[in-house]
Amino acid sequence: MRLILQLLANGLVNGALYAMLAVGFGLVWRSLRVFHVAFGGLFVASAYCFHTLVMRVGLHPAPAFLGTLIFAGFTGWLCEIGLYRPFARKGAASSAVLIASLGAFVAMENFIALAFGNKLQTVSRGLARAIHIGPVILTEIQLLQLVVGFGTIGLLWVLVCHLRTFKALWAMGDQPELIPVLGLPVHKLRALVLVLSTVMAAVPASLICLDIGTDPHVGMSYLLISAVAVLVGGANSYAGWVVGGVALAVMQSLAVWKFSSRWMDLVTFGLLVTMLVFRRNGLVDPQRRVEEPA
Amino acid sequence: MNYFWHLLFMIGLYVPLAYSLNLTLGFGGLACFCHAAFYGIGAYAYALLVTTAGMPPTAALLVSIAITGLLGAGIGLISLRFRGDLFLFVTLGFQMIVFAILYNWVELTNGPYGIAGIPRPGILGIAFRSPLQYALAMLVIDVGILALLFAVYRSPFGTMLKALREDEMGAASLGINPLSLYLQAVVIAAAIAAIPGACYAAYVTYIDPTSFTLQESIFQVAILLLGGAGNRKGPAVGVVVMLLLPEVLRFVGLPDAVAHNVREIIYGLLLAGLMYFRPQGIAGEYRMT
Amino acid sequence: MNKGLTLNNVSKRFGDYWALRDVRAFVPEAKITAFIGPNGAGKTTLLHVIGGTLKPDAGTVKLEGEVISGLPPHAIARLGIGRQFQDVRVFKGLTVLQNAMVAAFPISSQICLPTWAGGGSESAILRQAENEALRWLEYVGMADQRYALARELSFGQQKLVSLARLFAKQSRILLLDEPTAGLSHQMIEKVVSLIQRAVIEQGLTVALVEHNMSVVADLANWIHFLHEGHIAFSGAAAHVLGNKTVREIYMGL
Ligand SMILES: Nc1ncnc2c1ncn2[C@@H]1O[C@H](COP(=O)(O)OP(=O)(O)OP(=O)(O)O)[C@@H](O)[C@H]1O
Ligand SMILES: [Mg+2]
Repeated sequence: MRLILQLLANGLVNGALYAMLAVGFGLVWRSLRVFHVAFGGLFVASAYCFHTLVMRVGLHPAPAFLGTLIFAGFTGWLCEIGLYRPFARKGAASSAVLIASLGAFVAMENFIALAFGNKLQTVSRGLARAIHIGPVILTEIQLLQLVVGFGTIGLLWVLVCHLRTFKALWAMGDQPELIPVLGLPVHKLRALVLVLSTVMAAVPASLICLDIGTDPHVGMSYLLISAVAVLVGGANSYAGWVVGGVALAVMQSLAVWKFSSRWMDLVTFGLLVTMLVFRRNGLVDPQRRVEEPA
Repeated sequence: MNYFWHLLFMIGLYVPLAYSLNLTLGFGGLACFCHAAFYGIGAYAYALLVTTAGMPPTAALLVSIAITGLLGAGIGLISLRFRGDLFLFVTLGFQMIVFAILYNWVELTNGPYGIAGIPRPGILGIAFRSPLQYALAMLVIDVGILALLFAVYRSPFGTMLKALREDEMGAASLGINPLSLYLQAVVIAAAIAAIPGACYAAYVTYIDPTSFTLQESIFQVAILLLGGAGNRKGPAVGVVVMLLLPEVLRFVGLPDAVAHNVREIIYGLLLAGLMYFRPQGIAGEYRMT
Repeated sequence: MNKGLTLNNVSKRFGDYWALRDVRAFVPEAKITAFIGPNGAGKTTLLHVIGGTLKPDAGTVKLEGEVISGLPPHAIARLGIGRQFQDVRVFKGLTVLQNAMVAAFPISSQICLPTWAGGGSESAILRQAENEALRWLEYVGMADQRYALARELSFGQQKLVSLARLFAKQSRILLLDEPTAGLSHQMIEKVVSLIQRAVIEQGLTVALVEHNMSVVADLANWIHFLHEGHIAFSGAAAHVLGNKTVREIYMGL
């Protein structure tokens, strides 16, 4: 019983991180209709930025975290300007954009490997202090992850519900051609989505880097997690993405108990496939229109 | 000189990979990102059959083709519930899964340590030794595979697959069963990818999971998209360009330590640029829709 | 035994909007039945439901007494029901000839078997399909463009190709969604006479969706007037076109 509670707690902590990833990925998918593979690369870039600021520049983790968020916002903006906007201008097919995004991901991953080496990079600190909360034990860092994670999600949720800008973002996903007609600045909105999305990746990237470190090749696993959380949670709702992320993390945590953590990707993907096979409706394709087959 | 034959063998190895992927990606329009998984399943099945099970190479080859085709059918059935971006993503997921299995199922695949001591095949009791012999054998195999594949390209089946690529609803309204044709295409492509897999295992005599990564799948898709998909010229162009590119880099004199990463960066940027400037590749007919 | 298509209380819902409500209609054999109505009345949705690309939420579609709703689109197509889409859906990257050949291939060639394994003589199948395709391309007057890619054709020519496809497929029932929309005057006349000939010479059954009233008047034997998802009025062509309510709702006269 105690073990299960502990696993659930661990799952919840990771859930906070995954939920942020899901929101970051989901925002781009929902409002730009782009399957944002480069998201994995931006995640790794943020983790390395955080690592550099702490270990090489010697900053305290808190200012390093802020610095990372700014860096992330900038890379997200670059990604829109340099990658997605040209394709959008051309009206390119979505799979062409996806493959280009994949290409950008590969380039980023290997650029980072070239610059920092293939080794795991950790942020060295003393043993993290353990904190007892009832029957479960969390480390200090886990607690930080939990609080910052759900705090960020809550904050963004409030914004999503109350700001008109976010309604515009949703509308942009439904009918992109309508946005300029309504007099809304398309380019600014698109850039905003990418900036927000990348910042949402940078928060877990920093927190994970602080905890277990990072290497250049984790991007694809985290992309898989983000995308699966969004698909499982339902493509259309913010709440769905959060639930999808938490559910996935809890599942993984329980699976680790039965299998080893080496099978993580398999668990992630297994969840998706199970959803596909048994509950097709959990995965609503947001792009279905009248002329498409049911 | 041996190096030249080695290179020729590698080109011969990638020809069936590119032409089989052309059936799914170029004809069917299915962006299949688990082709390296099929290639790897073929290689592992063959290697395990000739080492652990002690089968003769020809039998092992046939069985590995069958196994890969069967697994291809399973993967296809699940992925084909989707089209477009989601199909791509699900196959990409399968690629990661197959890699995870090759890497982690130590009891079966020996995990990261790979399978060593794969016997060299031969004819008339003489085992292949030199790259020249392998290259020649590969050439013969390629001729056979291409004859088969070109017949499929030309057949009513091939044309109907293209019709599905252009407009699935339109094709279905003419009585074409999309799932059946797509599934056949995936199974054929998977089964054919097993052949170069087995050839690779027989050539290097040692395989490990790192040859069958997502990177490899991306590389194979890049070959096809660069050369051009949907016809008979494109894949050949792609294979030659993409396999000679590293040689050019070597010529430039890149240190070995960074060569791999630089190559990958170039492939990545190439893919992105290609999608923007020339989505139909150098000599292709199909452009991503 | 009713020969033809029967729609029994067909309903279709999108979200909480009923695009079709209790549609009851009969499409008799070897006749032209038109479905008319204002934009958004549900005409295209109705053809989707008959063709199987959408499943009805209630009601059934019957072909000669057999329920066909619920079958996948390709199965319905194999029963001889041919569909022309409002947005044409020719295979843009294929040639005109290939477009028509795809429709002419026998079902057995959908299994990819090499010739030696019982795939039949492939070149014979190809030759036969090509002959059949050419015959129908000539029939619609597109044979001299046979090597052009479909995407290079005008909209009207694409519609002709899609008609040739339906003939090559040997459909017995044609579901035509606005076959004359966006066409020039001569082209409209041509399409009208093609449809007429198809019914007279081949005895085909036609369900026609059309906005152009003079085309409807020329072609239709029987008219169903759809309004907000249900059939507001049906009758013989002259009768419906002369009806006061129809003129009010639809033509603003
Ligand atoms: N997939 C869908 N989701 C939601 N609403 C839909 C969908 N398909 C159609 N509709 C709605 O159903 C109604 C009927 O559409 P339909 O296309 O059948 O009209 P129509 O009679 O063919 O019109 P037109 O003459 O313009 O072609 C419309 O209001 C349309 O907006
Ligand atoms: Mg319509």
